Amino acid sequence: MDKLRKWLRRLFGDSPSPQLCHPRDSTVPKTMPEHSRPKESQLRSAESELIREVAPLIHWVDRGKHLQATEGIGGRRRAVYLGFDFGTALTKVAVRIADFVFFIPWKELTGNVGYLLPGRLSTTNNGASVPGIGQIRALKEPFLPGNVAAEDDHVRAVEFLSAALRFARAWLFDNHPNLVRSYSLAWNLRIGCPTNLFEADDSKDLYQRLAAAAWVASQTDSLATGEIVRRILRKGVEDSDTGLDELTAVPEFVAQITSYSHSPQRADGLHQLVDCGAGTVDVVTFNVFRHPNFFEDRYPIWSSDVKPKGTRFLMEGYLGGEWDQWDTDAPVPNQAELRNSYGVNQAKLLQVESSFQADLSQVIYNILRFTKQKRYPTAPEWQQGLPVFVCGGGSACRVYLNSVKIGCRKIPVTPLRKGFPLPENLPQKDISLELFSRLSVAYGLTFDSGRIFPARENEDFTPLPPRPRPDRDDLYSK
Amino acid sequence: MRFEPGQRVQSIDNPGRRGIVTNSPPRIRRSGTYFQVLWTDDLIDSCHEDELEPCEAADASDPFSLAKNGRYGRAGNLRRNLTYVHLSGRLANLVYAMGITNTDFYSHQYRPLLTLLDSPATGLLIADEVGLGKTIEAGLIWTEFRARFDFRRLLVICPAMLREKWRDELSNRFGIDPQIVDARGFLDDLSRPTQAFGQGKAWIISFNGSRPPKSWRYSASEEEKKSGGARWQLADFLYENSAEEPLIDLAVFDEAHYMRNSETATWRLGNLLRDVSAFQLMLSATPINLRNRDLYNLLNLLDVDHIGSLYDFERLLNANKPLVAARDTVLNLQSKASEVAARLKEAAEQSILSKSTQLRNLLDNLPTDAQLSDRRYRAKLAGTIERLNLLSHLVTRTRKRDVQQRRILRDVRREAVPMNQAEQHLYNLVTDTTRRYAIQNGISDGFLLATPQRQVTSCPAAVARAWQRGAKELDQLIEDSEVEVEERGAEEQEGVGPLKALLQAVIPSSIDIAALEQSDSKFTRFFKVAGEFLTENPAEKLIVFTTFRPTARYLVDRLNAEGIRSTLIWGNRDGTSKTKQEVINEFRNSSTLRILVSTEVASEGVDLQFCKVLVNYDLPWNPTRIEQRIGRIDRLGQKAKIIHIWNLYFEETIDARIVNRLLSRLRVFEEALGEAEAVVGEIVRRLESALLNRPLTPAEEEAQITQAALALENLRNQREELERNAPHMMAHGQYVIERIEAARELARRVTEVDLMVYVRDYLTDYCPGHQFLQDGGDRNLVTLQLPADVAVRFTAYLQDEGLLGKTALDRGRTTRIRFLNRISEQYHYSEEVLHQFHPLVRFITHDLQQRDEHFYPLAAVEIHGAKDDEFQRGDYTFYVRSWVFKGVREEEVLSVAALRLDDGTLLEEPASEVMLQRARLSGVDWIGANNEVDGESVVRRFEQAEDVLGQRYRSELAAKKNENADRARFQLDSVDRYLNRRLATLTKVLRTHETLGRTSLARATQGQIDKLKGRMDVRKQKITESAEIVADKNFVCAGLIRVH
Repeated sequence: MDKLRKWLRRLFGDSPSPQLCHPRDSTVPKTMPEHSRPKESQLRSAESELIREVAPLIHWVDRGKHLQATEGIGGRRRAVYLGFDFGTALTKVAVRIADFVFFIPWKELTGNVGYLLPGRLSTTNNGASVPGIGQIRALKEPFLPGNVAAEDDHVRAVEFLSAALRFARAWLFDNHPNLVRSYSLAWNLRIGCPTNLFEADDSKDLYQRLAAAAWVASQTDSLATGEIVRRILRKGVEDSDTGLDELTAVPEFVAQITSYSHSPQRADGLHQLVDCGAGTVDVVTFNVFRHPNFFEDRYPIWSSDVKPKGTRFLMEGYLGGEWDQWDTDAPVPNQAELRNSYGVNQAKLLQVESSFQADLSQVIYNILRFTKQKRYPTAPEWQQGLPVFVCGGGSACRVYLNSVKIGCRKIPVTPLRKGFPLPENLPQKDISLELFSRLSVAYGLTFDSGRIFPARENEDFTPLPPRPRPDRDDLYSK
Repeated sequence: MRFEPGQRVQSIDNPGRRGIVTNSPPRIRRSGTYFQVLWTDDLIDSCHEDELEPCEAADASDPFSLAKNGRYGRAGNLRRNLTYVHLSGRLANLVYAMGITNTDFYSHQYRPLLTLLDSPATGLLIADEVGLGKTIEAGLIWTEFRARFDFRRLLVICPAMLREKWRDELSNRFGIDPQIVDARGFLDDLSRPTQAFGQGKAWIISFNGSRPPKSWRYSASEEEKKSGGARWQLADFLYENSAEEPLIDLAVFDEAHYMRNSETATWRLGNLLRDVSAFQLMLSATPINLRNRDLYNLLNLLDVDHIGSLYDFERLLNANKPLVAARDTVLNLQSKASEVAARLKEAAEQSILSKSTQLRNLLDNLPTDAQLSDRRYRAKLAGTIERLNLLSHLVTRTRKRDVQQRRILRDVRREAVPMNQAEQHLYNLVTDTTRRYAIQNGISDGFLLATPQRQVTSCPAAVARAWQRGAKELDQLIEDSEVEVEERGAEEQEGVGPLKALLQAVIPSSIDIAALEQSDSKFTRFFKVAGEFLTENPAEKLIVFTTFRPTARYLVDRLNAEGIRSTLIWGNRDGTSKTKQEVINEFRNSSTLRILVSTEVASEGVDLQFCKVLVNYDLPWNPTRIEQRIGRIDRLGQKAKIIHIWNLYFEETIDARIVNRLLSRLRVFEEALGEAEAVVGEIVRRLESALLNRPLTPAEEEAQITQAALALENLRNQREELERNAPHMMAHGQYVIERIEAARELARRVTEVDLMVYVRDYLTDYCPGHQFLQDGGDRNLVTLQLPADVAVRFTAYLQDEGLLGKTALDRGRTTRIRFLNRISEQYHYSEEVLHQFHPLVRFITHDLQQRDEHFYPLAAVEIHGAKDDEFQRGDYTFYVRSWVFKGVREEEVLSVAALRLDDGTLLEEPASEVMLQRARLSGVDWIGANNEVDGESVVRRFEQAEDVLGQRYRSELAAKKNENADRARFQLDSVDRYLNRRLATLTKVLRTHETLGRTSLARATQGQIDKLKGRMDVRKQKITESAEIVADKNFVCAGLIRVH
C-alpha cells in the first residue's frame, strides 16, 4: 500500500488522499451518463477499492510516458504511425505498426468498450487531467474556423491530446509486446485538422503546434498538469525536441480520401465529399489522380463550400431552444425516436426536414453545377455516376442522404455512394463495417497522404477554340 | 540499407507484400531513411529502410530460409494458398458438390458419387431402395462433374409422367434449368455445335417419346427415314455419332428397369444413348438379385464391353467372392495376417484378376500382424480390396435399414365402408358389364379390365360424374391410368386406345348422379372422421391419396363446400398457374388449409414428410404403388415417431377382398414389399385378368387373390434370401461412407468465405478501380463493379466460353452480388448469386492459371476454440504439399503434416488436416510470431515434416501406379471390346450393302469403319501413353499454428 501511495503522490501531487477534484464546470447535471461521472466516489472509498480502481490508471500513466517498450535495447528500427483524429465530439486514434493497424480501445479510461473517446476532460485536484470523462467539453471548438482560441483553450486541448497519446503508447506496449519488444521504435504522428482548411495552410501549423506540445507533454513522469502544458506552450516546441520522425497535420478530408485511395476500390476521376459534422457541412468536389511520373496521389479541388448545416442545427430545427436535450455524442435520432422521446409532432418533423433538405440540397447542387459548368464539364462521371462520400456524424441520417440525392438529381447525375471495405490488416475482429466508417479518418492518417491542390490553383475548364472551318473547295477539288 | 528506384522490395514484417521503390527522393528522418514504395496492390506508401528488404533476399519457394529468418506471412496468405488449390485443382479429397445444393446432408447420397469417381468404368447403376433419394444422388454426381470436369450437357431419360418431377428437382435443388423436349427438339439441339450450350444444357426426354420405332434399322432407305419421323431420325443421328466424341456428358436413365428387355426399342434407345454419352447413370429400385436376369441385362447395357454375356457376368461374380471374403477378413478385427493372405491368394487364382497389378502388389507386400493392429490400416486395406471388386464399380445399393437411424412406426387402420343401394347397383353393373365385354371381345388384359372397376370403387359419385360429362373428363380418367401403361415397359401396348373403347362400352346409360352424391357413403364416413380429427388436432394436416383426378377434384369441392379448406395437387399438365411445389409450399405454410388431396402420380417425387397422417381414399391393387404413397411421408426428414395410415374401401367388393387377402397378408401397409414394381406388377396384372375376364363367385375371387398373395410372398422370401447374400457380392461401402463423413467434418468443401476471399484478393491484386463493398448488416452481400478494362476482358472470356448473359458484371455496372455457394438459390431478383460455378469465379481461375503466380507460402496463424479431442493446445508447425498424379485419370492430393513445435510429436493425418482446415476457415494473424518462436526449431520441424510427407508420397505413388496400371488395362480392354463389337456390326452391314450392290452405301459404311478404327487407335495410344503415372509434388505452404 505504501508503494501505491508513493506512486499516487508522484502522479497526482501531495494530496493526503488521492482524489479527483470536482470539474471546473461545477454545474454537473444529475442525469449525466454513468460512464461519464467522475470516479471520485470510488477513489474516496476503502483502500482495497482504491487499488482496484486506480491501479490501471497508474499503470498506463507510467507505461505510456516511454517511447520505447524496452529501454536501453536498440534492436532493428520499426516505424510506428499514430493517426490522431481529434474530433469535436469523439476522438479516434489508430496505430500502424508492422503492417497492422490497431485502433486504441479506451475502456480503461471511460469504462466503456469502444474505440471512440469522448472529447471531455476531467481534472485532478493537482491539475492533472484525465481524458474521456468529465464535464469539460468542446475542446476542439475554439480551433474551428472563425473562432479565436484563448491560451486556456490551447492548454486544455494539449492536456487532452497528451493524455490520449500517453494512453495509446501504453496500450500498444501492453497489448502487443511482440511487436515492440526488442525493436527501436521510430514514431510518426499525424493529426487530422478540419476538412474546411484545405485552402488555408496556416491552420495546419496550429494543429501541428498543438500536437507537438502534446507529444512532449505525454512523456512527463506524471500526467501533465495545466501548468506544465502552459510552460511547454509558452516555450514552444521545436521539431527536433519531439523525438518524432515525422509530425504533420493532415486535413481530415485528405485522410478520409487516403483511406479510400488505400483501398483496392480506389478509382481515379471526379468525386464529391459531403462531410456532415456537428456544426458544419462541408461540400467538396475534387479529383483523385495518380501522377504517373511522381508516384503521388493528388487531389485537385474543383469547388468547395462550408455551411452551418451540421447535426446540431438540424436538432435545433426539431427541438428549438431545447436542442441541448440531445447528447451531441449520440447519433441523430430517427423520426420515431423524435416523436416518441422528444415529443416532436409529425407535421413539424416533415416541415423541418423538407426545409433543411431544400437548403442543403441547394448547396450541394450549387457546388455540382459550378463544377460541371466551369471546372470539369468533360468528366465521364456526369454520365456514369458520381462517386460520393458522405461522412461525419450525420452520414447515417436520412435528411443528409436525401439532400445529396436531391442535389444530384437536379444536375442530373447519379450519386454512387462510396464506402470503405474492411482492410485486411485490422487484427481487431470486433470492428464492423459501420464502425470502420467512423474510424476511417484515423486509419487514413496512418498512411502517407497525397497532395491537395487548392481550388485557386486549378484552372477553369476552357473549351478548345473552334477549329477554323476549311473551305469546301480545299477539301474536294473540283 | 539503401534502395534504388525501380528495385523490387518486400516488407520484412508482411513478406507477402511486395513492391517497387519509386523515384521519389528518399526522406531522411531522425531514425533513418524512408523510401517510397509502389506496392503490387497499387498503393503507395513510405517505409523505413529497416522494414524493407530486396525481394531476392528471401526465396519464396524456400520455406526453410523464410522460417529461419522469421518471415511469417498472415492468415490471409494461408487461406489464399489453400483456396486457390481448392478452386483451381481437382482435389481428390475434396467433395465439390457438398453443401452447395438445396439438399439435406445424408452421407449415403454421396456414395454413388465417390464410387463413380473412383471407378475405371464410365457407368453406374444406382439401385437404392425407394425413398432414399436416387434423384438427389444423380444431381450430386452431375454437380460434382460440373466442378471437376466442366461438364455441360446433361440428359435425363425417364417415363413421361416423371418428366416434370425431374425438371422441378433439377431446378429447385441443383440450379439447373432443364428443358423437357420430344425427339424432334432433342435432335435439333444435338445437331447444334457444342459451344452453343454455354453455361450448360440439360434435356429431359421420355422413353416413349424418343425411342426408335419398332421397325428402325439404320441402313434403311432415305424414304424410310423421312417417313419414320423424328424418333427415327433421332435414332439415325445417335447411331451415326456413336463413334464420334460424346454428344452428352452424362446420361441419366431413371427407372432403368424399363430397359431390362433387350428385345425392345426402349433397350435400343438406351443402347444408342450409351454410345454417345461420356458417363451413364442408371437409377432403379431393382433389388440386387444376382440370379435375376434383369440385373444382368441392365449391367450389360451399362458396360456391354465387360459384361457382354451371361458368361462374363458369372465370371465376374465368381472372381468377386474371394475378394469379398478377403475384405471381410480384414474388417474382422480378430483376424490374423495369415488369414488375410490366404484370402488374397485365393482371389489371385481367379483368371479375371490374374493381371491385376494392385492385387499382385498386395500379395508382394502382405500385411503383417503389427500393421493389422492399426484400425486405420485395416480400413484402408479393406478399401483397397473393395476397389478390386469390379462389380462394386458398377452397382451401388443402399437399403433403408442401412440409413435410417430409427425406424418410423406405422399405425395402420383399415376401414370397410358398406355401400348403399345406389352404389351397390353401379358397382354390380360395371363388374358384370366388364366381364361380359371381356368374354365377348376375348380380352384378357388385367389392367384394362380392372380400370373401370377401380374407378367405381374409388368414388362412385365422382366417376359417374366424369363418365357423364363426356369426352374430356373421360380422357382425364384414361390419362390417370396412363402411367401404369407406361410402367409395363412394353411398347407393344398401343397406349390407352382399348381402354377408352372398354369404358365407353361399360358405362351405364343412366346413372342417378345426384343420388350418388347425396348419399355418398365413403365420403360421409371420411368427412365425419376427418372433421373430428382436425377439430381435435388443430395443428395437424391430412394428406389424402386417390388414383383418379375426378375423385380428387370431387373431394376438394365437397370438403371446401363443407367448410374444411382443402387443396389439390393436380399434376401440372393442365397448365394451372401454380406449380406442384408452390401448391405444397402454400399448404405447408397456411394455417387454414387442412387437407391436401393428391393423385399418387402427381405427388411423385414430392416431399410431404411434414405431415404424419395419410388417408388412402382408394387402394391401388399393386402393393408397390401403395408403398410409393406412404413413401411420401415415411421418408428421410420425417420428424414424427409414428405415422398414421387410414385406408378406406367398400365392403363386399373386390377391393375389400384384395385388402384382406393380399395387402394385409403381405403387411403392405406396415412395411415395404421392397420388390421391383415391374415384377410385382406382373403378378398383379395376372390377378386383375383372372378376376375380371370371366364371372366369378366371391369365393372364387378370394381364391385367386390368395394365390397372387402367395406368389408375392414367395417373391419376397426369395428376395430377402438373395439380399442377405448380396452384401457378400457387393461393396458394402463403409470405407466410402467414412470418406464422405470425413469430408463433411473437415469442411472439405468450398465455403462462402473462401469464395469471397478468392474474388476479393483477385480484385485487389489485379483490378485497381474496382468496387467491392460489403453490406453493413449482411456480410455476404457485396456491391461489386469491375473496372472497365477488366470488364472488357471478362466479356471476351464469356464470349469464348458461351457464357454471355449469365452475369451482369461484364457490363461494368455495379451489381449486387450475394456470396452463397448454393447453386440452386435464386436469392432475390436484384441480387446475383455467386457460387463456385459463377462465370466470375471461372474467369478468375482461368486468369490466375494464365499468370502462373504463386502466393506467399509461410504463415503464422492462431486458432481459438479447438475441441479437446481434436488436438491439444500449444504451438505447431504445419507443412503442406500437393501431389499431382497424371495417368489415365488426373488427380491432385493435398497432404499435410503437423508437428508439435516443442517436441516434434507428429499429429495423425486426420488431426493434421482438421487443424489446417480450422486455420484456413477461422485462423487469425499470429501477431509477432517471429519474436516468440525460434527459427531454428521451426526449420527442424519442417525438415521432419518433409521426411514424413516424402514417405507418404512414395507409398501413395506406388498405390497410384498400381491403380493406374489396372485402370489403363481395363480401359484398353474396353476399347478393344468396343472396337470388335462395332466392327462386327459394321462389317455385317458392309457385306449386306455389297451383296445388294449398294455401292455408295457400302462406301459410306467402309468410311465409317475406317473412321472408327482411326479413332480407336488414337484412344488406345492415349491410354497407353497414360499407363505410366507422371507424378509431381509441389510445395504449397507451411508455417505455424498456435492453438488456444
